[in-house]
Amino acid sequence: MSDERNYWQRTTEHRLSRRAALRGAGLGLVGLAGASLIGCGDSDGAGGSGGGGSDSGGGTGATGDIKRGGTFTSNPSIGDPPTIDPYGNLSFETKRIAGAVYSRLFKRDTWPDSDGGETTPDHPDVAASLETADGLEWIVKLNPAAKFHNVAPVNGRRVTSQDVLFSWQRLTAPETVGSDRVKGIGNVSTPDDDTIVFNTDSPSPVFQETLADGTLLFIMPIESDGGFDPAVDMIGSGPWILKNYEPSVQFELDANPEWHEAGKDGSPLPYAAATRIPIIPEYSNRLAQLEAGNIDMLDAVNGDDVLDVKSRHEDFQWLGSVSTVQSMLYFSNTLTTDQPWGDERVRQAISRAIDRDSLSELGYNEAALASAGLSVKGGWQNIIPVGFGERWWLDPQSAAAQPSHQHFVYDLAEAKKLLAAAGYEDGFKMPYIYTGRYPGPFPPIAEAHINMLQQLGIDVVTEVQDYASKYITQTFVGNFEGSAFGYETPFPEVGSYFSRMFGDNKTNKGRVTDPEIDEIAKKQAVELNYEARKELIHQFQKINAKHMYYVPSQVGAGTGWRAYASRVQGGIRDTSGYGDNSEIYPYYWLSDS
Amino acid sequence: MQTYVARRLLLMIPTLMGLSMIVFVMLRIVPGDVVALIAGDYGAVSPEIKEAMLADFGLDKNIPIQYVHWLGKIASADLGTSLISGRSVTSELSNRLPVTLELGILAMIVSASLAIPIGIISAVRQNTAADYVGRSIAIGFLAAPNFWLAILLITLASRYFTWGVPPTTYVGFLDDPIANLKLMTVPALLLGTGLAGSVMRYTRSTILEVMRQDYVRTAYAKGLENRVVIVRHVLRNALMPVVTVIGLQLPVVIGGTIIIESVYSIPGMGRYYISSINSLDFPVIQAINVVVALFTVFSILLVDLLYSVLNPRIRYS
Repeated sequence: MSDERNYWQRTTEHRLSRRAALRGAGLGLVGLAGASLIGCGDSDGAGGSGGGGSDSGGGTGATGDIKRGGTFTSNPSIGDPPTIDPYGNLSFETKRIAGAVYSRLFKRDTWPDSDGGETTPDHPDVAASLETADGLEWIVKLNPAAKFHNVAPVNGRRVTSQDVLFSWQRLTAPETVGSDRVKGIGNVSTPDDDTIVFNTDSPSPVFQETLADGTLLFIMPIESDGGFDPAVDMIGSGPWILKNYEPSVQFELDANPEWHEAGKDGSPLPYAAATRIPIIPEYSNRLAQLEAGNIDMLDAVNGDDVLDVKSRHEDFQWLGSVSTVQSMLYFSNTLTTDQPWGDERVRQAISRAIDRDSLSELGYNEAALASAGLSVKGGWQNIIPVGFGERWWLDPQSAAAQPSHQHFVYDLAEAKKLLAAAGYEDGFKMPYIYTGRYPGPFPPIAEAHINMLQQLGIDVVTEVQDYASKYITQTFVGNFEGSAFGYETPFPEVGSYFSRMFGDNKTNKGRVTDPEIDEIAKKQAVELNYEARKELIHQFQKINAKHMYYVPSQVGAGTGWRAYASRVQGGIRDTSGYGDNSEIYPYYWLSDS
Repeated sequence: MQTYVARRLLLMIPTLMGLSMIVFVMLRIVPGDVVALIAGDYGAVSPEIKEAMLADFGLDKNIPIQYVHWLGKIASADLGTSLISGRSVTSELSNRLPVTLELGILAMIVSASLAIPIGIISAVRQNTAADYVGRSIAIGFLAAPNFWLAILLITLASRYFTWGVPPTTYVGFLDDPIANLKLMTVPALLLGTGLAGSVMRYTRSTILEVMRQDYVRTAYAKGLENRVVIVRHVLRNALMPVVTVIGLQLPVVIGGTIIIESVYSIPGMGRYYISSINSLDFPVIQAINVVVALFTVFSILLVDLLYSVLNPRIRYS
């Protein structure tokens, strides 16, 4: 899409361009003839089940139709990454671009006929195999075809175990924020160039999932230690080669012609010749760019805009999916405070005063979208988000959630009885904090809570906090008084939710410790049997629901919409985490390329 | 004149130092924790890592020492290093400042081109239909927030005239003037019209005031044509305060670019400023404040010097 020459060069080359144009016209006719043979992708979503997963309605990805080339302009970033060194910070913008350039050992399986990694096992990236006999020692063999980009100083050499070890050392270095997420993996050794042996402190059910996490282990060449500066340049072995990064403007990446992964037909990937990620902070501008055909896809289209855009662009393809974002009301010093919210009956009353269906409607425009025939999914959030689907989420409306499910059901009269039983028949005054930083369905749902709490009889004192100076640095880590409403980071691994909200973690914002939950947390961390672990995760959700330590709310519980231009083919789909650039986009092809 | 300019330049030093001190101290007393922000939603940073990061950023020392250290760097034209990206602020601003200046200058041109003619017509034809229309336009410009107009324009463009949707990439004016103006024209119009409202009203009122002066009545009494009286006698005197207003709009323009640059995805200083505020990136915030203050004091000096051009009776010594 972009032309590297500037205006003056193009002007001075005008004569040549005319000749080239004549030549191109002939090719264009051939191209048009070819295009007429290509079937368009289906529009809209179809079908789908409650809970997680995504709803693909795009092209089928039938390999016979695949066209190579062209530039895929992907979902715009909303801002610059703080740095492009994935070990330099925890920004999701950094992880996203890092996922394009750097490989991982494993990644989520997002083949066109998979469900985005929800239930399918993880997929090898530069690893060729993974073996364990006891869940303690894990032997990873590398794919011999995995090579770094053909760029100095690595010049297309093979990825070796030394690179993996070097990257592991960067990930686990004390100065790397987030290194604590892999602290259970103790010793790493490299018996030969193709083998890495990891030793975990205890049997780990999530070892492969941890290495497949799109935010953790990116394989950097050892040359990044002095041979080039990873904060300003990226050289990896991923599907895309960084060509240019213009801060606040865009990332331009070329396809890696020697990427180790091939399409199902055996042909090289990526199918597109290049990809571009513009940086556009403002939602209305991003939406306008999609409608004007300047970008090929847009994530997080507001539910209120979907039908409107759809009516003007019938050829757009829509993908509806539920994220693993968690949102909840939480309370200061939940177990030790002498304030009303220290009484679990008050917290249960608050939960029962929240009309979750109305909140979903408010945030996600569900009724209108469903009546227009779109597949609207989601449910009521539990302490484990809806987006995890049946794999881990315990549906509060299901029989399995008995008896604590009653605290999720909207019943104002019953809520008032609970409040009266706790001795607050006339209500009480409660600070209610949230930040104005979060977009989309967050603001209306945060505001609707105020009205619902007031109906319960609580005198709500609202404080909308600045994100940087107060919310994320004070309230989010538990330094506040009253109640607050906010997000929890969407972790790809379900076990992370235990440590985040319970125990001695700094981010235990409600300062909640429950021996029963601590015990479950320990057991699930070493439980290798999926069904047994699922049962533990369900127990965790029931205990929280019983005491309502955290009161789950509906941001993140509805269907998020992603729109694609009709030219994008290959089976549109979603992936959990930040791995789109390597897990999905290499498989997309452009019908007009 | 040279002595006057030199004195004014010298006076800028304590002004800038005082301002930088206020900004420096205020940034360090606002609540917040840059290390926690870098950790982001993951949040958990061990005390050892936090201490190491604070030491690395130079934030472990007391405020006066930090300030002196920073001032020393500024004296050698080093605006510091971003805490978040680790990139040089000087280098980052050298890329972004020209973009914002271009937008600001275009906006001020738009503002003056609209405001002065309409203000003159409105004053000369006081209480006529032209005056009412002019004043209504001025109030409209003042009342409509430019961020709202910007979003409205982009939305309307995407529906009814897709050629009006701004390009997704910024190209420098010297590289491709047409592509550059395709992106910059609408934001400049939006910023410029926002500024024009106040200038228009100010132009009108100063012209009306001058037109009531005795010397203007005398000029008319001498039998001079209306056009001659307005151009030669009224405008020259009336425009002096208007120039002051336009000159002092620079900080307002830079403030306006924060929103406009974000909406139109323009890689300028305003966008850098807002992202640095959101991430408590002290060196960037401080540097931008110094740059804005520098431009403000220079624009005030320029305005003062322009007085002598507009009114030869004014002499600086």
